[in-house]
Amino acid sequence: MGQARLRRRLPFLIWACASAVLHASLVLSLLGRRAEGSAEAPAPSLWMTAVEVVPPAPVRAAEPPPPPVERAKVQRKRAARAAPAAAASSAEPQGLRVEGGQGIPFASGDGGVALGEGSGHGGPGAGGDGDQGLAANVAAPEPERAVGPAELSLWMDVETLGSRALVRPGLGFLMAVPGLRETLRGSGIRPFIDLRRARIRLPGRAAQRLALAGTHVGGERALQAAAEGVAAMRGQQLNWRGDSDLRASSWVDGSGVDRGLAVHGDAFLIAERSALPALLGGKQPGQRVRALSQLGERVLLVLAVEDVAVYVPGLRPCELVALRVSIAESGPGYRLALTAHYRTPSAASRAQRCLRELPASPSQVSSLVAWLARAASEHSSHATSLKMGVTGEDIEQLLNGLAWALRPHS
Amino acid sequence: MRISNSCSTGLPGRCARTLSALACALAGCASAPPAALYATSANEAAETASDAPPVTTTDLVARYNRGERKFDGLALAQAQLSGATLSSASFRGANLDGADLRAAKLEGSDLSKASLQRAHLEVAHLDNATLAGANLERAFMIETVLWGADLSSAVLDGARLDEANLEHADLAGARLRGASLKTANLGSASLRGADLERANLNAATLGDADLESANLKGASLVDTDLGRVYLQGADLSGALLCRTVLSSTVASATLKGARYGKHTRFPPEVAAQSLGAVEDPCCDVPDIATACGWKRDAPR
Repeated sequence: MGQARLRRRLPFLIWACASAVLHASLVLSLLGRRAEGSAEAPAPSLWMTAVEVVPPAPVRAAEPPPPPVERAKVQRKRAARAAPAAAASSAEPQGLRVEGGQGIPFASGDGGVALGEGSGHGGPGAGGDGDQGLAANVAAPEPERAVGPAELSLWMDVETLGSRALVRPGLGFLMAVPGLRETLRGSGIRPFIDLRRARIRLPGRAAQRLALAGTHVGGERALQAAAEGVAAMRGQQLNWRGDSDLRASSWVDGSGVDRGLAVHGDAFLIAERSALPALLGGKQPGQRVRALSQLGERVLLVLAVEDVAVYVPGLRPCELVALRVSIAESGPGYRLALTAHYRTPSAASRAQRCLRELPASPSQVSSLVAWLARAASEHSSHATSLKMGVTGEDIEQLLNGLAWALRPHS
Repeated sequence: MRISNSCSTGLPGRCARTLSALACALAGCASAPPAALYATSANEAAETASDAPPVTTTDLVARYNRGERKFDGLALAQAQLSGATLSSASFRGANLDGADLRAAKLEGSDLSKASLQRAHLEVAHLDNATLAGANLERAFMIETVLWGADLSSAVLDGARLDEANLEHADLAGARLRGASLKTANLGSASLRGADLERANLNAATLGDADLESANLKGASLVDTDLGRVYLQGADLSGALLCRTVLSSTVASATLKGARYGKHTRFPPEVAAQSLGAVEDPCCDVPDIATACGWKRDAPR
């Protein structure tokens, strides 16, 4: 009986399904085109958290492509070569793992360019197993790592850093972050007393684009009081919006930047108002606020820098593009994990020498340069990496060096 | 506030789910926060203070106690505000010349472009305050707490900052000509491009301070440890460097006519005389300032 009814309704169901799928694909296609055409469209990886996994960085050929006839041959050969490499790289974890902590990726840039492990895999090789004649005609293009928009991201477990007597360098760094001093003025927020975690995101060096996320020991009430204190200094009264999941208001810090505050329990985000929708995304923005400053277990500090030369111009000769440093507690000491990405694999392979021969190594970032010089490169990879034990003094030097790098240069 | 994902899922099978998802998408069931949540500041915050700035000290304190925090353009020269609590308030462009602010609490306050000439700020708390572009000429700031304060481009000529706490302070481009900073704490402070001509920095703490391109002509740096100070491009011409410890970046600083003694510590790779520094026996006597003829010039 039921089967007969189903058989009678089958054509209608098929039609309904087909029609729905067609409409859905049309709608999705239109939405996709709109997103592509809109410069304001938020990239999904625009504001990565410290525990998210990001895709590998794109690589591009440094040299122009070969002529069309040869290009087809090259593409076929590349496809054949890349297949096993791609399979191998897909088996690797894409995010980096911190000693004793969760996977932590590089931060992404505004354009959604994200860094990750294995960026050199699967790219065009440097010849060797290819056609001899072709290799002679076409100079093997070395894969270049794409440089994302300049961005410095720092996650700090300020509570633990404070208990580890690293308050002084931690504060020194925070004070040097362009715009942070102005942002917090009048709020009564003392980073190493009132915050548990802090996340700084600084695209370029411009103070107005600074974003600060974190968790406050005083919870939501303290954050609201902070915002109201800041507003009172400017003779403003705040109008809170939102619900129990996310409360938002303006952050009138007198800097002239139109900033907003988003609060979810004890977690908060202060950023340019126009950047908030993109930073928080459309789904569960409250949870997102919390996730922004999240750190893996025992991880004290994670630093991710894209377009390093913007922050430390002295490293430009060595073609260092991106950098990621994480420091985790390890017994009474600390473990450092460093990954550096260079423009090309050959730049990575000669990085150690280049760094040691820098004409005027910036003394303030000497510890960072020393670590970079010790990092070893893998065969035909853009990246070099280093894992080692470090001391509190090393961390202090790193933070002092970063503070120096962030101050405006004359 | 947000619409939850509660669209009907009554239809059976994959087709129903597709239809449901499509219907949800068209109906706006996705939990995107409404645009109103991030509304523009024009309709977000409302001006509260419309009164004119207070004209008496009593009025200022009373209004502060009522919760008012914006006192921009305040004109209270010679005001008696000793011990007053005025934290996290805005005094932009205020005139507080000669005011008595001893032991006042001004943490996190905004005093940018305020005039505080000859003001008494001894033992006052100005942690994280901003004094950018403020005029503090000849102000008395002995033991003042200026931790993390923004003093960029401020004028502090002839100011007394002995034993002041200026840790993490931003003094970039500030003018401190002839200022006294004896035993002051300037740890991790930024003094980039600051003018410290003939300033007295004897026994000051300057660990990790940044003195790039600072003018230290004729400054006194006796017993000062500059071992971790960034001195790239700094001008130390004629400075008094008795018992001073210098970092390797001194190699790129100007030392013409700077005087040093047996106990001055230059980094091993730096030859002091090749940089134009002069060894002076005056550095090795007990009363160095007198023996070396160093005195603080009156600020111009």
